[in-house]
Amino acid sequence: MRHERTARRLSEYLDGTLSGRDGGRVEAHLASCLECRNDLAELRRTSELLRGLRAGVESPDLAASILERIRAGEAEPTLVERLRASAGRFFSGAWGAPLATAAVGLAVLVLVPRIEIEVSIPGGSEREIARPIARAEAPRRAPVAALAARRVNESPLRETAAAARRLSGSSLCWEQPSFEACQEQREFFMDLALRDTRAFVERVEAVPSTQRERWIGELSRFAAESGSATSVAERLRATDDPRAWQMATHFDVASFDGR
Amino acid sequence: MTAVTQPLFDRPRSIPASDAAEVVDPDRDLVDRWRGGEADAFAALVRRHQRRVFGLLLRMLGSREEAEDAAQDAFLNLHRHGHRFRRESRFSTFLYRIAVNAALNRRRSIGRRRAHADAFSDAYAVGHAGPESGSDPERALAGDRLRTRLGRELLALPDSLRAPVVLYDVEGLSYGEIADVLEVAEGTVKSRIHRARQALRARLGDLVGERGTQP
Repeated sequence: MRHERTARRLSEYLDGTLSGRDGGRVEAHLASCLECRNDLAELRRTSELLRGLRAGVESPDLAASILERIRAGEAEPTLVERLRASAGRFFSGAWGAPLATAAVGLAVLVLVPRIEIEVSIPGGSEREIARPIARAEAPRRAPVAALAARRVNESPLRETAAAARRLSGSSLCWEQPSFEACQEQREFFMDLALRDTRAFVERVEAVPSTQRERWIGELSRFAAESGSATSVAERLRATDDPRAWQMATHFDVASFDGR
Repeated sequence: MTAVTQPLFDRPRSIPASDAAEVVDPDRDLVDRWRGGEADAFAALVRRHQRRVFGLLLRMLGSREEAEDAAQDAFLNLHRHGHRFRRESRFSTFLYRIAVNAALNRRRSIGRRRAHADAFSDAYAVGHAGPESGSDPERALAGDRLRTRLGRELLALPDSLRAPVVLYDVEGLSYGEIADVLEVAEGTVKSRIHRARQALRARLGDLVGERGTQP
């Protein structure tokens, strides 16, 4: 086996995961290459040192405080999760999970009015604040093609692309003491949350950590005012990303505060 | 690709993920009882896994305080999202995935607070009751220094390299399990572990070889 190829596989050789044939080739090369033998010895020593870290870690006992926090309601599944769980029990069998999700989706569609509230925020134009969100939500929420078709001419995608262009050149409003100048950013983020949740999560994560909590608090209040906090929270929870799960709790809290 | 060369040293290695489905998950009973509504079963799961979760988070984050906070986050998320566990992997794999994510989350939020590795906390050494910390204080001190040094060099690695090498060398997971935890291909795990060890070897130069501090 050639030198470079062996050098790349030394860790696998060390870990004993090469097949007999590949292992034999590595051994044959090792027999004739001092450099690779030295590399192997140093990698082995590195691995052994790391293994030494395994011993002697004393963990604090976390169970008591975690149970306390659970009792205080910090790990409660939200309303939507409970709905989905009970719908899941109802629709058992192979199609249970998708049916349950669809049922909850329909319930949300029926129960949550898609209102276009006129919100008054200082420095902002009221109509434009609430409407893009209500519009953005409808096509995603509705499993019914007709509803989507009716809304297709009002697609928020074009506006969002324009907003993204505007935002890229604008100042970072969340660094200001108040969010008065953040109207465009709010709309852009909320639209993204409903349209492309992963991108939303990455965008929020890109906000400096010192500002992130404040900014997501602002976004969740804004979403609650326009009635979309619950569906944003649900989308965030539907991802596999624990960062998104943590964001979801902000929107849950805001949706309850808003009632 | 059937025969496998003998490992060069003994290492208790957990079962590869591909076989995990057929193997009885040691946590299965507790997980079932927890899902059946027994709070005690959840507490038992926390107690059973807290040392490993905390140990992993300590290596990932570098301070006991951050590791404890992240471990709490991880177990709360486990409780909140446990219904997502589908038994396609072992429960411990699922938990490791949540723990790694908790660590990455926390590192993002503390990234700016800890701008320099110098700020690395001595807490690394504090609270370790390693085999050295017995009768011989000099050896105990040397052991603590070594751990602190290793911890600092681990922290200097990028997250993408640190997580796999910690899971393999420190936590003793298999390549397959690590691929499951990190949700990357097994080949990626292999190459990242190798790159991580090479980087560490270079940084630990004086400790690992006769070739001294040569890069």
